[in-house]
Amino acid sequence: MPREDKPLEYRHRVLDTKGLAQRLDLEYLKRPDHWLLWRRRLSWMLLVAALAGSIPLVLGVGGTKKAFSNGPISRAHAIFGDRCENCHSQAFSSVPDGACLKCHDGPAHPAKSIDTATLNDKLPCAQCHVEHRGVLRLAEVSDANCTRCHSDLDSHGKGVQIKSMAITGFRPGHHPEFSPASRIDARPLKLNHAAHIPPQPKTVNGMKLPMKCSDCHATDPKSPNGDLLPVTFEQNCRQCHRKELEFDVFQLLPGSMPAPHAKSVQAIHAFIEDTFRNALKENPSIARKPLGRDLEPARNADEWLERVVREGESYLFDPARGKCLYCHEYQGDSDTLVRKVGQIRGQYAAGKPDGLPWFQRGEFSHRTHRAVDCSSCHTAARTSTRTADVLIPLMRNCTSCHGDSGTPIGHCAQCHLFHNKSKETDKDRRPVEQLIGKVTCRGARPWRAVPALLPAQASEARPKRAGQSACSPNWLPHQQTNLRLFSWRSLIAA
Amino acid sequence: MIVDRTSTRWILGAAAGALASTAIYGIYAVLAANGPRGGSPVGLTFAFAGTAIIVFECLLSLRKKYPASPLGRLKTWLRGHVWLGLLSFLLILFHAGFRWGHGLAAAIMWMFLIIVLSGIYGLALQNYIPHRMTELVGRETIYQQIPVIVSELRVDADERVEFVTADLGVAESEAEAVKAGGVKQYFDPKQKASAAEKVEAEVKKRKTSPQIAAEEAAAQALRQHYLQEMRPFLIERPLSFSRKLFGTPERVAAYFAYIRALMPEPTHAVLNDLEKICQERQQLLVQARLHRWLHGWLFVHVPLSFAFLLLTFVHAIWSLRY
Repeated sequence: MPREDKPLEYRHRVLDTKGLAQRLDLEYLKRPDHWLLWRRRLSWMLLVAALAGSIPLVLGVGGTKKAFSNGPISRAHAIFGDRCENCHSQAFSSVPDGACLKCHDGPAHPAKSIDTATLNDKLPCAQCHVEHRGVLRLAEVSDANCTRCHSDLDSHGKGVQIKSMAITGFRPGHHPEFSPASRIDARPLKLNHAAHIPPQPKTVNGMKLPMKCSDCHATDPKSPNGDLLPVTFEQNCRQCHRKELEFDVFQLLPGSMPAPHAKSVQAIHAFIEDTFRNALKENPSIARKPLGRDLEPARNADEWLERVVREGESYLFDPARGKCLYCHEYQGDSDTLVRKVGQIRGQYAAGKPDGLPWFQRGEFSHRTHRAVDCSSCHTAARTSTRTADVLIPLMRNCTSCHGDSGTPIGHCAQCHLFHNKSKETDKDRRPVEQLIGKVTCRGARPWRAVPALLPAQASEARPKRAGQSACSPNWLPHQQTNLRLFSWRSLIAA
Repeated sequence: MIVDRTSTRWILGAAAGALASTAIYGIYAVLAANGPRGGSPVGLTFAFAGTAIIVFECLLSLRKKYPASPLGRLKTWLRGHVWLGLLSFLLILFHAGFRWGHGLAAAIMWMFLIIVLSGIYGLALQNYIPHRMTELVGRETIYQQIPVIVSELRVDADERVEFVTADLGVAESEAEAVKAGGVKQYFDPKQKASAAEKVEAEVKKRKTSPQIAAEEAAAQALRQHYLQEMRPFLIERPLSFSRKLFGTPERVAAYFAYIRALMPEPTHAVLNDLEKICQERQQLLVQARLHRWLHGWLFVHVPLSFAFLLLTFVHAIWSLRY
């Protein structure tokens, strides 16, 4: 077979190292890598997008300044909207006190005038009142803000009274016992709580016992804290104890006639005399009847009148008979027979008719505790037989619910104030526009700015006058009564 | 980057840093009256440390651009990138007091989370896929060379089929390329011309008539099978039909076993080589798929990192401003 007719020899596929290498293109690095190319393009696109997105943020266009906010501002400051400069008046610095003091007074610490200590350092407002934490109240400062100093009062203030106690929490050993525990009730009055609330039901003088605490201790509906109204004879005692005021020894008057629960002896004398004089005028024949066990009647009307008034007064005022002295302490004064009691509310203090609060450093709200039975805190009331017994609860009565009991209600600020409200001025009663300038529509829509505002509250907050826009700069929900940006009353109430 | 014993020092260093910063944060969180805050001195220290690491992380791209840079080995940079990057996320969480923040802060925290998660995902893939690739792809090549190799495979397959069928009627334009592996050089023009003529004559002969004797029907059948089924698989982006037909080595083997049963004995040598070619093409497909897994996460990780860096600076400056 000629060579050219011979078929080509079929060589099997063998790939040795050289064969493998010969398949490769040495120029491949010069060709564009599509993966790398697209990754770079995407990087640049995102970078440009981020840059473009940052420009309006930095310039604060269209309320985009909120993007830099650390968190939603508190409800009280929601009115500021996106006007960050109201508080952040100094660049690259924390909020200065001056920004707060434009609206708030922030009177000095200690909160109570009875405290004599003065702080070594002045604390900036923002140290305790931390903003941008949502709708939390700024006044609700964390305990650590208080215990930072109160754990070692000596080194943080001068003139400290409580020196030995390191106050670090609300539990025995870490918090002083309430001061009423070491006092007695010195009110010149005889009151037996146990007699009014016996363990077994019974009826005395037509009154069913045991009484309820609220029969005498009613809360003041006007008080945000539910402070107790003073106990008065007219309101709370007269119904059962009117017999102690009766003076008609000879039963000459129609029906029982109690004397007034007056402080002046002369006033009571005048009442008795007038009462009998009127009775004599209406029925002159009563003077012709013998009085009591007498065999002969009085010689004349004057003698009769003098006798019945004297006997009536004697019956009422005689220490041996125990009429006024059933409750009061004898003073023997010509004008006031008994010692002055003052208002039956709080702690008795001689010379202070309105008394003093039992808790001199803390605040207590009966209103927030209205769901709790009185006796669960005032445990000694059922067994107390003396006025001197102070029935204010001890700390252990509180710690079953507060402090270390596991419930989240045990913050210092729930009972204690920091600022001295007695030194608070009326600064915070000015209209808001005077304080922070004209509030414009943008960012000043409280019903939108406050997420926690309920729909019902929001509808109340909206302006209702016809023709007035919700965005009107002239309208603010608080303005009708002059905005009170911060109220100690509301603090205590909450 | 493979995590092995060589990373131990970096792992221990990052763990020590994490422990130290956790201890500092723990003390700070307990003592801070109002809880940990980003704007407090300790919070800002965490922010500064975290941001410094983030800047270092982003410098890796720059370092890669200059392979001969004296600033340490790229492998060292990569290890630092991985382990310090994880530490930076912890530092930023400490800075934020484990709060996600609002507005821009929340946006960059989400971006950072995605970057870190994509990085962890990428690291896991880099430690798994290379092993898997070694198992599945015996003929692994440089990823960028795959189109070149596929073209080579196609030309090779065409030539081998033409031994049975003569000219297939498919024109393959050979791309200009500088081949590796040592190409025979002719310094004498006469010799070069002679070699070229020889090759040309062989090609002409192969295209003119079948070089392996087989029945006409068998040759036509092989031609049809090749042009309709095998050759479409030997292109750069095969269609899904071809991918399914030759999806696994088992399917390739089964296909060619079936074809061999149909074809006469003399064609089996060609079919065996075609099977090898298709097997290699199937491996290259697997390699391309694994390569996309191995590097696809960078499309999220890298672009987002640069945008994140920019927004971090905006956040830092404007947060300090207020």
